[in-house]
This record gives sequence, structure tokens and C-alpha cells, in this order.
Amino acid sequence: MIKNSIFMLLSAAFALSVHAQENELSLQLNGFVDSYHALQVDYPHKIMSSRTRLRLEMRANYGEASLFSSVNLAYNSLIKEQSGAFLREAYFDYAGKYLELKLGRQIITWGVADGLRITDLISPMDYTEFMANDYDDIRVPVNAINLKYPGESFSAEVVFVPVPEFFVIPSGEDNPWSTPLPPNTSMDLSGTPEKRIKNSEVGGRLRFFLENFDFSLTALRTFNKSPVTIATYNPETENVVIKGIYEPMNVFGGDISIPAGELVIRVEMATYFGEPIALRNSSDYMLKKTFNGLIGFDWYAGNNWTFMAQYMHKFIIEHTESLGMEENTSMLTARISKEILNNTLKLSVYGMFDVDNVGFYIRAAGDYLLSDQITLSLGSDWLGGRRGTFKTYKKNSQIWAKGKFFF
Amino acid sequence: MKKFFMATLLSASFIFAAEQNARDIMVKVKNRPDGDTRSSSMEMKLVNKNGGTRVRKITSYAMDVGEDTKTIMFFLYPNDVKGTGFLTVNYDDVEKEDDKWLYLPALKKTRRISGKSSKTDYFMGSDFTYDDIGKRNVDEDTHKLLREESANGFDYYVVESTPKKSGEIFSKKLVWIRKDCDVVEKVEFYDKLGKLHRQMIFSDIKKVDGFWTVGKMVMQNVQTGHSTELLFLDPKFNIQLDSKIFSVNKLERGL
Repeated sequence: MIKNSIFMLLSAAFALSVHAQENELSLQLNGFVDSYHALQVDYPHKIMSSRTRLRLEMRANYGEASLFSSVNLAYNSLIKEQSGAFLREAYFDYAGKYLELKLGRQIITWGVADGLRITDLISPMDYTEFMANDYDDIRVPVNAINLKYPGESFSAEVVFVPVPEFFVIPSGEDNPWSTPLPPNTSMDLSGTPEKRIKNSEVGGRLRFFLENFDFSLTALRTFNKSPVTIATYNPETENVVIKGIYEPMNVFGGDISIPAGELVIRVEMATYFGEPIALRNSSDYMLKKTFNGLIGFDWYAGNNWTFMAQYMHKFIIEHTESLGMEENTSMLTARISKEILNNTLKLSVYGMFDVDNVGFYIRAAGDYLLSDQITLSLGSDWLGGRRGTFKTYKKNSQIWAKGKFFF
Repeated sequence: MKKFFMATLLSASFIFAAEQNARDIMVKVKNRPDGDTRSSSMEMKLVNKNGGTRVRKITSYAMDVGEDTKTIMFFLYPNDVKGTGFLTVNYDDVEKEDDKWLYLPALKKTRRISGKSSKTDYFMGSDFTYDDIGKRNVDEDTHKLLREESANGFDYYVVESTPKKSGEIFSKKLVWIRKDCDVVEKVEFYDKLGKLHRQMIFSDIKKVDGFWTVGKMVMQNVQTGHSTELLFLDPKFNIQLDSKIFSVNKLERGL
């Protein structure tokens, strides 16, 4: 797959360069090398992650057209399957006056939420190391056709994804972020939809950028990208299989951003039609209509202080007691950052609070720009709570260090 | 009593006339012809007190729409911020907040940001605030003509500008304006305690395409010893620009 994609891109770049004899062709090669290492805070102080990678980004521009590719060459000393060459993005891009086309493997981000997903459902999340990765690394690219009408204060966009991508869940004995399963239990997440046109993903978005506010409207036919799990017991083998369920669902929503003095208020909401929700006894699931909303505040307080807070709420319409999820669930996030020493040192704290499970995830970090090319970072991830995913990962609280060299 | 009243009235009239005169000078500076559209590449060199340097490179385009100005900037260097874009609609009306959008390539997301904020923040770690680089509205300050003086073969107005609102990082600034071309050549910013905080020197003042331009700005923070040199490379005026480049869509596409 990666070889084919790189070959196609190189062929196209060569074709562009042949045409460039009479026109202007520009080639750019950028990237970075980074090395990240994390250590468990609790006993036995295991190494939680140790990885180094080279990111290569190549862009060839020719008039209104361009080719872009982004490749990771990675070495992961813990998770063997994370070592190797991985194609992240590879797309052809054409920017006409009235129509723009982006064709190929690309990351698609919608909505105004910060780190949470309401309408931003096309590119799923790679939770191989849960949330310990940088947010841009967590997003999974999709093979898509993206058509856009680019207006000055309005744009209209249609996205078609023939084969949707789904969440990557941590797995494997060598991954400290894998969730341990009880004895005689196995996980089966192979039930993603067949690669057929009826299982493709299609969506549209209208965006408006106005004097006093921005807003967008979205419609999407997608799937629950994060699997809903149900358990089946096989009396013959005396094994329990936890199976991942993926169902098609329709999403209608939108977002709005309103500047108000030093604040910006962000609101994003969507109704999911046919979202699968597991039953309390995990034996089956039901398709429900759910309302998902978020309100966020960004305060640019001056003096390089930034404060952000978000509240996300999910409401299951026609909720029944048999469901394994409460009728109302919510999540809070907050981010505080301050840049000092002429913006060479950025100190930040990001926190997520799972209100219903009283669970939390806190990342504190310091990023120091040693030079224009080198950034050194130190940080810690703290997880815990009474119930839920964050509690599961309590023992994974870690401290980490990262170095990044840009070229 | 009558004499005192007349003296007070005359004094008040004189102060008003002086303020009006100073405001007129600042309006002339702001409205100095610079074309309806313009573009420039900027190179910023940040120098700390130990002599360590960092470099920032930016390309910017601007277009006047009536009295308002639209600006789009793309960060080219260093590579960790390459692709970051900043779009601003700067309103001439002092009561109206600017519209601002920031595109962050790492998140592949555009954020609407507050028009009121960041004006007093330092721009990319430099000694320039966003306000220093943008077009500050003349009526955000009260102006007073302090004196006229001559130096280096040029005649200058020296104007004292005091912010009308609180929350600014300077308590007052002294501005030296060349009379022959209405170009600012020096600004001294004073902090809340009235001490000199930053000093900005404009040089390489020349005519390009028939418009007076500044080729170099140096801002020195005299309190920390940090300084920033800003070079305007290849300035162009009245160039053909499609108004659609001042859009969030272009911000996200990049150069």
C-alpha cells in the first residue's frame, strides 16, 4: 500500500516536473525527527513508550495543482508493529477559482471543538497509546474525495470516503496501553463494514465567516467509528468473545464561533440518528437517536495567557433502563497556557474530566524552544477516577520527555 | 475673575487646538498613501541580551476596503510554525473589534480569535506587539504636539500619544515624525511607571513605486536588553490581488 502510494506520487511528481520545463514547478521537502520516551510513575516504573521517528513531508506545486505526501519512518522499541514506514497523507490538490479538489489520503477536521468530537467524525482517532500521542498524530487519515466551492466569506464542501476508517484501539501484549481482558476472553474488532459502495461515507458542510460570528452546517452519513462492544459466550469452548459493533448512522449538526470582547464562545451540536448503544448486560445493543452538544470558551487574556474551557453533553432520546449508558452524560475539558521568556518557553496544562465516572486525565507540559530547529519538552500524564476508561488507565500515569528537530 | 476665566478659556482653546493639530499629524501619518493593495516579505531577527538570535520569516498581503484593511500573513520559518496563517480585518471604526482568524497546521484547524485580544501580546516572541505591526487607530490615543525639532538634516514633529483605554502595555509614547514625508522615524514607549520600556527606530526610508516606505524597523526593549530587527523585503504596492485571498479558505490552503 505504502509502496504503491509513494510510487504513484513520485510518478505524478515526475509528470509535473516534465511539464515544468515551460512553467514554474516548486518542490518543498520538510519534516522533523522526534524522539519520545515515557516512564510509569507507579511501581514497577515500566517504560511506557520509547519511539523515534523521521517525518518527511514533500510538496510539489505546479500552478494551481500540487501533490503532497507525508511519511513516518518510525522505530518503536516497545510496540513492534509500530516500527517501519507508514504513509500518513498522500493527495493531489487542485485549487480552481470556483472549485477545489483534494483527492487521496488526507486528514479531515470539522467543527470548532478542541480535542472532542461532535461533528468531527470523518477522520477517526488512533488510540494505540491512548491519548499520550500528540493530537495531530492521533488523527487517522482517510482516503477521500474532497470537493469545495471556495468563497470569500462562504464555502461549501462535499466529502466522499469510499472505505471509512475506524478507531485504532490499543492491543497486543507489548503495548502498555492495551486493556487487560479477563481469562478466557478475547476481543474481536474485525466486524468493520464490508468494503462496498453502500458502506461508504458521504458528507457536506457549509461554512460562513461573518463580521460578528462564524457558523457552519453539516450533514454526514457515517458510522460509529469507536466500536460498541457486546459480549457473547460460547458454552462449547467456555470462552467469551467481546465483539465490536459498527453501524451506519446519519448526523446533522453545526457549529458557531462568536467573539465577545476578549472571549470567543464556541458552540457545536449534532444529532446522531441510529447510534448504537450497548445494553447494560453487554449482550446486545440498540440503535438510538442522540443529541450531542458542546459549549466552549476561549479567553485570550493578554500577556500570552490563554484559557480554554469546554462542556460536552450527550443526551439519549427515548432512553430505556436496559441501556448501558446513562440518559445524560457529560465531559469537561480545560486548557491553560502561558508563554514566557520571549515565547521560548510554553507552559500548559490540559485536563479532561469525565463527570459521570468521576474520571480525569491531566497533561502538564513545558515546551522549550532551544533554537529555531529544536524543541525540548517535558511533561506528565495523570489518569484516575472512580470508574470508566480513565480509572482503567490509572496505573499508566507517566512522565515523559521529547525532543524534536525540524528541518 | 473675568481675566482668570478668559485665561482659562484661552488656555483650554490652545490645548484643544494643539491636540487637534497633533491628531491631524497622526491622521496624515496613518493615511499616508500606500496603495490600495500591497505585499511584502518580512524577516525578523530576534536578539537576546547574550547575542543569541532567532529568525522568523513571513509573507503578507494587504488590501484596503474603504477605510478598513484586510491582511493575510503566512509564516514561512521556522519550520515548527510553517504554514501557520493569520487573517485580520482591521476596522477603522474605533468602536468595532477587528475580525481575526488563526490557522494552525498541526491541528488542521482554523480558530476564530478575539479581536480585542493579542493586540498587546508580543508577536511571535519578538519585541513588537501585534498593535505595533498592525494599524492602530488614531483615536485610540490622545495626541499632543510636544515640539518641533531638526536632526540629521530633517525636520520632525514630536508627538506624545496617551492611550484612552486602560489595559495597554504602555502609559504613553513619544513619536518622531518626519515632516517631509509623514513617516515615523522613532517611537519611545513608556511603561506604567513612566520609565522608558521600548524604543523603535525606523530606517531605510525610501520611495518604492512612488510610495514612501520603511525598509527596516528595530525595536529594543531597553529594560531586558532583548531586541528585534524587522526587514521588509521586496515591498510591492497596487498589485493585482483577488479579494478571495483574504478568506479563511486561503488561510487553510496556504501560499
